[in-house]
Amino acid sequence: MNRPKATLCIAERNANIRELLRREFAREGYGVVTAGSGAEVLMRLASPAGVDLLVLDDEIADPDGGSLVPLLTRLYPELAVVLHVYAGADAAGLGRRQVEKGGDFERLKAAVGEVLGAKAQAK
Amino acid sequence: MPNASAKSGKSLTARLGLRARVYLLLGGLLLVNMVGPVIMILYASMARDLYTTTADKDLAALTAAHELENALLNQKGYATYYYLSQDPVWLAKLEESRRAFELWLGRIREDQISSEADGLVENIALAYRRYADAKDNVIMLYRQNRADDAKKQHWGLREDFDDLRERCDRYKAYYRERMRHTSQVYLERTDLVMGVAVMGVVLNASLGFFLAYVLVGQILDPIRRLAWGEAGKDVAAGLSDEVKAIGQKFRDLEKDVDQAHLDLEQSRDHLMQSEKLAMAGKLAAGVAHTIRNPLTSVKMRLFSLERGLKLDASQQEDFEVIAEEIGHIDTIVRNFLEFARPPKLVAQPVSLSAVVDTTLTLLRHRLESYDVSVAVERSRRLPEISADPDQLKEALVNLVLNACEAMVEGGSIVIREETGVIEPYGRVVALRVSDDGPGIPPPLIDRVFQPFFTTKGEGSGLGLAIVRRIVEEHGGWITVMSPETRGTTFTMVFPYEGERGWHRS
Repeated sequence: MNRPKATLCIAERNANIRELLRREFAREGYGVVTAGSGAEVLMRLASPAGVDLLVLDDEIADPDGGSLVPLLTRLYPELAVVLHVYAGADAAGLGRRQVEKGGDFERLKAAVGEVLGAKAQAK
Repeated sequence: MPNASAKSGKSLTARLGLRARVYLLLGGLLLVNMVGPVIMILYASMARDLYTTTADKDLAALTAAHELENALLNQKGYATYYYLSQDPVWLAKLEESRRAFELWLGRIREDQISSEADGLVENIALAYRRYADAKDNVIMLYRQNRADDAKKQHWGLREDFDDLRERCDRYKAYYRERMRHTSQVYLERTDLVMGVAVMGVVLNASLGFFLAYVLVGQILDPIRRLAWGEAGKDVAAGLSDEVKAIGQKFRDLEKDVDQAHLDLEQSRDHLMQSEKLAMAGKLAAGVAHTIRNPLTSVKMRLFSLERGLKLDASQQEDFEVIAEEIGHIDTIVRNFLEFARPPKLVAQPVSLSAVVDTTLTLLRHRLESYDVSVAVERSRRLPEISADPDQLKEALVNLVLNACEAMVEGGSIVIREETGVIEPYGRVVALRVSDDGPGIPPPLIDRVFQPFFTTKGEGSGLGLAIVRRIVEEHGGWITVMSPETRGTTFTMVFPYEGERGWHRS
């Protein structure tokens, strides 16, 4: 139970949502870094501190304007990712866990907890 | 070469239009019928002239020659009778006969037609003069009673008489030959006229045949086919009936053209409407996409605020109203995006009855909150059609919620499931959603499916437009009826291949 909380990267285009999620997940005890663009996401993932899970706004694009998910899958195949998507959006999830983006962020918290738990169990 | 000539013949036929061919054949017939009789009249006139001039003259000359010969024979006898009877009566008769001879000779001389005939006549005249002089001498010797000398000379006259008669015969033979020649010329001309007549008949028949061929093959048969179709060959109808049938066809054709024109106008209107919709869709998508992000941020902050806020009653009410209005905005944004999103039908065999059941299960709590009861009229489950059940469900949800919102203080909705036949679409299944609300005012009923048209304060005006688009994407159509502004019925109709129900055209 004393195991240190994981470090999350909150990737979200909207700064207010990003900041809210940062605050909420920090309140939960997670280490949180944030990113507002695809380039920032790649930078955070490449840092020595490392990231245990990425909460990714589906609308954040890779440096070429395409979906970031295929690139991440290729560069970080082991990285745990929770996609934060709008209802009805045609997200290229590639089997990743998806959570509908809405007012209720508790569902996102629950999904992050579940994915990290599954990852810990796998280890 | 035969190919080349056939080709040139074809191109000539192609160059000559139908009217030119008919005129050409009629002109040919007219020409043959005019020229033939003219040639025959000409030749008949010539034949008559031949007879009235040449043949009549020849006959007269021949008759005259015959009379000359008669007069000559009489003269020979009268001199002998005088010698035997010594009666001067015979001398008088001789003189009379000589006058007759001179008379006929004079007539012959008047009508001579050639130098040859003239020569013959002059020969006769010369020989006759000689014979008459010699005979006068013999008579004189008889009168002087020198009978021996007279007999001697009289006997010698026989040779002169024979010579004169031979000359007369030659003259007659000349005219007989002329008459034979005239007759031959006449026959030749008659043959020519007959030849012309035969050619005329053949030409007439040929031109008539071709005219009949052109009239029947290129005018009457096409008229018949036009009137009765390909079965026209078997139809024994008069030309008048065919003309009436063509008239009827043309009237039908005019109606078809009017209908096609109407359809075209409707298609054009529909196309313009579709273009407007596409533009509105793009606009809506752009707006919704832009709004969605800050709206989500607001919703999240509100959610966060709600957890730790201690509010009094009025503040709580304010808070709830804010949350509710944000919910409305969220619905509008979602409708905008739904409307703009390109359709992605995932078709599968599905019964509309199943769609109705699922939708009503989903909406149970909402219906209760609206205080609306729903009754389903179903004789048996509708047959399966190929459709996207999620899209149909969305359409039905929109219709039911639309009805709920129309009935301000609750009410009842009836969903009727039907099958039938509508010409020219064939078999169809239909869902009728009827409410007992206030209905739609007549001026507005044509606009209810237009995007962004709404009578509700917080509506996006896209609900019914989305329903219509979903129905049309399934090959169906939707209609609305609101009789006497009491209650409204929306009917979604979808074609399908299956058993028959009611029939309507």
